[in-house]
Amino acid sequence: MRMIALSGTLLVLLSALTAGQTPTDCWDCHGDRLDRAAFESSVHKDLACTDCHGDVQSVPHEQQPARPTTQVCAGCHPSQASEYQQSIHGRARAQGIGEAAHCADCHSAHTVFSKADPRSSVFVRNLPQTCGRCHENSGLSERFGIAAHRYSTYWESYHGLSVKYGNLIAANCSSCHGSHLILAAADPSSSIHPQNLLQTCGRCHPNASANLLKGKVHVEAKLSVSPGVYAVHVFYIIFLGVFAALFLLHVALDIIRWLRRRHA
Amino acid sequence: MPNEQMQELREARTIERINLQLRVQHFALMVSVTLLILTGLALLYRDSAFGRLLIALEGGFEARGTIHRVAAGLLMATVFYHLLYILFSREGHEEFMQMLLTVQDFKDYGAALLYGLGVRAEEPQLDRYSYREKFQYWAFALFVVIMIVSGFILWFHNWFFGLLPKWAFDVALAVHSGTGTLILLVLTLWHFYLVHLSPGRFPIDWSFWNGKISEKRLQEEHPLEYQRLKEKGLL
Repeated sequence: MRMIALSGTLLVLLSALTAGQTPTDCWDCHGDRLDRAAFESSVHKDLACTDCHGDVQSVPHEQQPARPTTQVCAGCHPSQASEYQQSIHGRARAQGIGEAAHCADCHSAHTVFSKADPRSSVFVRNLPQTCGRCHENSGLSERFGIAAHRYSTYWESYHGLSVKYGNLIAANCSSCHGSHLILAAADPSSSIHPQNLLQTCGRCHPNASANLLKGKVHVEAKLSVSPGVYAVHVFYIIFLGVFAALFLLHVALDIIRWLRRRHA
Repeated sequence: MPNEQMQELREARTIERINLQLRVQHFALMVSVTLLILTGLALLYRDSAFGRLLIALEGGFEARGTIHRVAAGLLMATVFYHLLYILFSREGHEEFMQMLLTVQDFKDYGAALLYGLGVRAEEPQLDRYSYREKFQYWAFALFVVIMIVSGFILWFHNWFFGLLPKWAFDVALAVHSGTGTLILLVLTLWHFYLVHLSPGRFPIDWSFWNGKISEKRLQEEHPLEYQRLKEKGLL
């Protein structure tokens, strides 16, 4: 960790010397589009703009600089980057699928905060939204055959409820799926592969048995996903409808009966 | 005595129809179910302004859960006491035997419907516990059992994780919220209507508190019970 920090600082000094651009120069033009105060309280506050945007050689620059790649982040975060490259996101991106998330998609570009900071996009309470940007209903499920509604089904679950109302210990996306090394459920080394799932749940629920694995974690009241819940929903909608109708009939009959008794 | 005076007298004269035991049990049931419904609704409608107001009134999300479980404890204690009462006390046992459903109840129900529709000229002659009381009692008993079982699974989920599949917890949650809604809409509102809001009773019937009913209403609503008490010389 200290090595990384040290090399990071060195990189900052080095780039400041070589490129000769100070953040102040950049803010002259970009101050209106970027939140300077937020950036200067981020974990990258001590980095120069050109540390990530290395292709900017002079101010002003004619060409729009390229978006920093994972390799740029890897300069300071090598272990996270190598985990990422083995992940489903990293491998998909390596295959040319540009939709696959890379560093800035989850961590943001200019407002990177520690995951313990409530402002961070990967803070426990913000993480579901961050993952949900792609895994709720972005159309990825149609194009790549991956499940949608991961955000809403999580928020509706016990885990989501607990996190939403203050119990930050409850499981969030990364508790089960991992963070940099997220793998597809079909991958035998994935934390959510059926063979590993019991161990993953067991980290928080030591009492979990193999029987617990029957049923979906992301529950949707649909016949194809959670037929039991779907059946209960349908039953209660019909039952409540019938009873509501009977009740109204009852009230009407009572009024008639009362009037008849009074005029008898 | 002139007829009018007689009528007034019979309205003023009351008898204790519901004993103190039943009144106390009913009161505990009423308090616990009201708390359970309010805290349950807060959870069910947590994302609406109504739910947020309820959560705030209940002292926050954690306190809401605590109140729900304390009220559940009161409900279960009441159920347990009620079971002891109907099993081991003569008085409670006699009340319970009159609560059992018979074919006559369904006939009475049909007759009341036909009377309401104007097809029948006479109302059915009802006893101490008519189809109305019995249907409500047994529906409530069934729903309370469903709520206790599903609620127990959710409350002690960590223990049940060693036993039940995941889908059983999801079904328990769906059943718990569905039955909860049913209890609110069908039982509580319907029951409230029957005892307080229906024509002739509005705005409130105090018999849940003092157990009393006027002779006039006893004769109208429970003619068989009225006749029996009269024969025994208790009126």
